[in-house]
Amino acid sequence: MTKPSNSRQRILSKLKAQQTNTNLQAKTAPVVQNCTETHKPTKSDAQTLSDHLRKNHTEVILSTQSEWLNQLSRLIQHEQPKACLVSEHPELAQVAQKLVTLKGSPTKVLGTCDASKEALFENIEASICFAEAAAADPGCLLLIATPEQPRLLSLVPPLSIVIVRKETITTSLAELSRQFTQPKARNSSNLILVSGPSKTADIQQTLAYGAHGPKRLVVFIIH
Amino acid sequence: MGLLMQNEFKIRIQDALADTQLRQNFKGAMHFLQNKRELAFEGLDLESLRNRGAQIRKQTLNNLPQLLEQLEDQCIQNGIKVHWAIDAVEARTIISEIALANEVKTIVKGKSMASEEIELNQHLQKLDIECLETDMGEYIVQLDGEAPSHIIMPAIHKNKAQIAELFEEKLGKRAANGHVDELIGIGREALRTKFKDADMGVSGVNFAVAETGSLCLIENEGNGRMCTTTPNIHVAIMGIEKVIPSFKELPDLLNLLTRSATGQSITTYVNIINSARKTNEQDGPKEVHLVLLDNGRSEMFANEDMRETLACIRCGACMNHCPVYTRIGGHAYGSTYPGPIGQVVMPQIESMEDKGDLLDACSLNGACGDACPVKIELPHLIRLLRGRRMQSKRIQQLSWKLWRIMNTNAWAHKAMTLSLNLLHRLPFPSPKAWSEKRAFPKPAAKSFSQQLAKKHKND
Repeated sequence: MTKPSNSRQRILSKLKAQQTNTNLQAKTAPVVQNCTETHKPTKSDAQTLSDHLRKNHTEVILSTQSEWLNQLSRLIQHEQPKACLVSEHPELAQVAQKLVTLKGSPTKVLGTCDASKEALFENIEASICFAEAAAADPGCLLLIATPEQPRLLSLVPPLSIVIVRKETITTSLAELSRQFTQPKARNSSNLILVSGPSKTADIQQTLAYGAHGPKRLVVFIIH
Repeated sequence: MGLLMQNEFKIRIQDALADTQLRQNFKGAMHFLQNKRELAFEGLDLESLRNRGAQIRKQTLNNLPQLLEQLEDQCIQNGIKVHWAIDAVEARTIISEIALANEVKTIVKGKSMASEEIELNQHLQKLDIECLETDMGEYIVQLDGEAPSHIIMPAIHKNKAQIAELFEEKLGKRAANGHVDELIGIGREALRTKFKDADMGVSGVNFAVAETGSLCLIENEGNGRMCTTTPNIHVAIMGIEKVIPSFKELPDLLNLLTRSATGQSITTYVNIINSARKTNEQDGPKEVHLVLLDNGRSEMFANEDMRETLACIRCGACMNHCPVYTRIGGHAYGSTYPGPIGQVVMPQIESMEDKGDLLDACSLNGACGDACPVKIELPHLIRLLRGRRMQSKRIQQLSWKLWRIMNTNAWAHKAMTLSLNLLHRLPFPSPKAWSEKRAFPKPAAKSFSQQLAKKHKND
């Protein structure tokens, strides 16, 4: 499309010429020890994660394997979104089934095949996603895009619900970032770290939630 | 040209200083950001974090060409199309050619200083392509036909009343109570349909990871994710210095960047883009392009003294702490990058004739250098550039030479003080720029050295 230019060559040779001039050894990528790991936690990682997320206006529910589905159902019944889109992540296999059977719930439960752009922007008021892992400090969840869990799912609906398992919480971001080079992450088109609902302080430095993404973020940490 | 620019800069400074509303907005905002940064580093060893940041940036720059080649290789493997642009003209041509080839009518844009630097919006407008800023602050500024006044908080010069008025005028929507929440709601609604229908998304890049060919973007609003996910084409533009070796370096740099910029330990979103949409995926762009922008950067790299300029991670802490910036605001600089980093970058990417005058707007107080998370010695670079600027100014050069002689040679110094003492009694006009705001200093009846000599004699 763009006509081939010699800019690549010009830029690189200029940079390289200078490297030789000043004897900058063209070494391989330097190995840097992270120094963000100096923090010594006194609390559990799950507690630290929850504290950090809450500071960022996230609603956190500490739950258990036997209880979380019921708690999630109660939340949906309470919020009554017009439509709720559930990620088809294998870990969430039971969720749609459970929500569909809710008695008297006006919420239409949809799977990711219904996640057309139009539907997402117009009708869907809530979504449920699964986070592959999390970092306790500074408090963020790792969402990996897959055909079962599209990228827009955690972004467009005003209420975003994310499920994370306690055993996948790492202490620090440095630790979490090691997973970015693992096959699961490498094979994905997009990784997202989320620390709260979307926000902005662009008007007079006043914090407002629900800038362009979710207005609310609810996180279930499952023990 | 240089002279005209110089006068324009002075006029803009005077206008800014005369605007009490603007000064109030900036004073409040800078104080707020300084406090946020201070709190964000509380309990952390800021110095060792800064040392680490400086070390990472330095090591990265030492390997810049190799890292760029590695980044290119990896991106191509991931299916990202890589373009190289030697200057602003080539960069915007690359982007507009992608747009024209795909019959793009509307572009949504995430916040990107590199795209401001190449004046992308103006270029696309001429081609009848709508290029909409979607960061809330940038959107407000674009709606009013202005440029951003701060690299992190683009609409920092406006207060909510001014924004409510603007929304009412341009969008026909009135915020009943004038609350910030309502205003954000109006902006959100106006932009949602644009995200859904746009043909192309343009974004910047905070860090590009060479090892994996991943583009890393940070933001709070979600507009960056929208721009890089919803349209069928995503074009990312980055300065060539934004490459980092691997994900190992990312946590420290993110930590320094967000805490220095907005006092956050992490932004709401850290968006890591590995590739375009994969088979079976329902969303994400079908094409991803990466434009690597030089625009004077390889020249900075070539000059050992100035290479440090490329270590910048664009956090804005230097301007937040600059007493000059706090008083005159970002617009007065009349440049893409304002404040201390702008004073160093602009004369290098444009020219000393056009942008050299920015160097005057500095009192060399050193606050910017102390605030920089990657320890760029900004005051030192400003001094170096001032020196370089003087090389073309014979009269100034000569007068500084004389000044040096008179202050390093006892006889010359004596002669100078004596003659100043005599001359000031004559009715010479005093320099206007100085005497307009201050009384012209009068030499003491007896100079310090005379008094000292007398004291010695008496002792």
